[in-house]
Amino acid sequence: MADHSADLLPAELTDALRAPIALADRERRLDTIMHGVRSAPAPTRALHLPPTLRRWRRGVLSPVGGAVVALLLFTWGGVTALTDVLQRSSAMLARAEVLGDTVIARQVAGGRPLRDSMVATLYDTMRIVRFALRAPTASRVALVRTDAPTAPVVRVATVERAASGLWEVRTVVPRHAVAGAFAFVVDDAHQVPVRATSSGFVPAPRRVEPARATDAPASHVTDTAL
Amino acid sequence: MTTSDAAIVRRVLAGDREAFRLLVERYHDDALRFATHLLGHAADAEDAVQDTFLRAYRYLASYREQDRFRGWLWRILVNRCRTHAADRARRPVPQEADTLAALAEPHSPEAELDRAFLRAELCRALATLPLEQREAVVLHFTEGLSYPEMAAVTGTGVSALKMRVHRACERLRTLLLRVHNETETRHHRAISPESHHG
Repeated sequence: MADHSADLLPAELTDALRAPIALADRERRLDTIMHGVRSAPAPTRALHLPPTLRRWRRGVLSPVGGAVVALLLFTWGGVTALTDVLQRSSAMLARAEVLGDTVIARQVAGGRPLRDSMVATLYDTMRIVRFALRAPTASRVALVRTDAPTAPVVRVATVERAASGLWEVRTVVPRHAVAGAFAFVVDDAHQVPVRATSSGFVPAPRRVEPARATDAPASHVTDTAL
Repeated sequence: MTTSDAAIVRRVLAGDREAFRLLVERYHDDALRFATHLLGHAADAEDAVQDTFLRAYRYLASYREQDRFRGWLWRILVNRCRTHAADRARRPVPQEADTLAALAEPHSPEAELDRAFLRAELCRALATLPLEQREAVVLHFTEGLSYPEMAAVTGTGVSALKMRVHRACERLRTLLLRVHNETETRHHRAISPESHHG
């Protein structure tokens, strides 16, 4: 904006503003101030910054200084976040172990062989599994199922803190589920995959190719027409 | 030979307390004029000026010689005036009589009376401005500070200060023009009473 303010006020107004104020008792006013000065503690010399650093006193950064400070803060934030992730990953250890099958007792079924076998088979497709996670720094943990990379994550259970740093949950999972299908979500931010213990999940089922007629040995081929 | 402000400050810091009176005498009148224009009340202005000098003495060690002492002192003065203005805003509206008496010299000749009247009207017009605009106008026109100097004193940006001065001047011109027209009308009626009756 151009400086046109000098001619915005008429000269007589500027003169009126600059005119000295009539003071009838100026000396008394000065004496009052000096009386306060005499009763005040003496000013002491303060420690001053050297001349080269005085520009920092007002808290104003040059553009280059601002960029350097922003870069330092960004780097510090990145390093801190990376360190935090590494600490969390190293501190968290997820395990799962099978506690037992959900086999229905025969006497409960009522002694009917056909019905018993059907119900037992139905119940026996599930297993009770204990999932545990050691995460001392976590504040909230959930167990989710991640069957396929593109499938939505399904929350299985909210895990409760059992002991110091140990999070535990017992839940029923499909018998043929593999350990890698589950994961812990820590603080809604980190996903820790579950690994099976020695007594844990069965390994992932291998696909068995169906046998073809041409693969069979010739000695096994019989001529049914004969 | 006039002793520089920095030399006086050195003497005070060395223990010569009475040397501070030289600074008080040097800047008291200007400070009081500034505070009176800004606060619109003589008693408040006097209190603000006293506070300013006492604070200046108390924190004299923080004054740096490469700065102008007047600018450093005015920074304190502006802050004290702002504080007093905030206190005044919480209290009832002051009487203007003492302010006008301080600004308008009594027993003046006719030309001086006109000037005193103008000053009184100017004081009334200033009182209608927001504090930040009043502050900018007084610093610019009364103290004659440049915009960078005003920015250093008030801690406000140069562009904002220019805008405040511009708006304040527009407002002052409007108010004072109205007063001038009313005065002219009264004066015209006074010298031609037949036109008034006709």
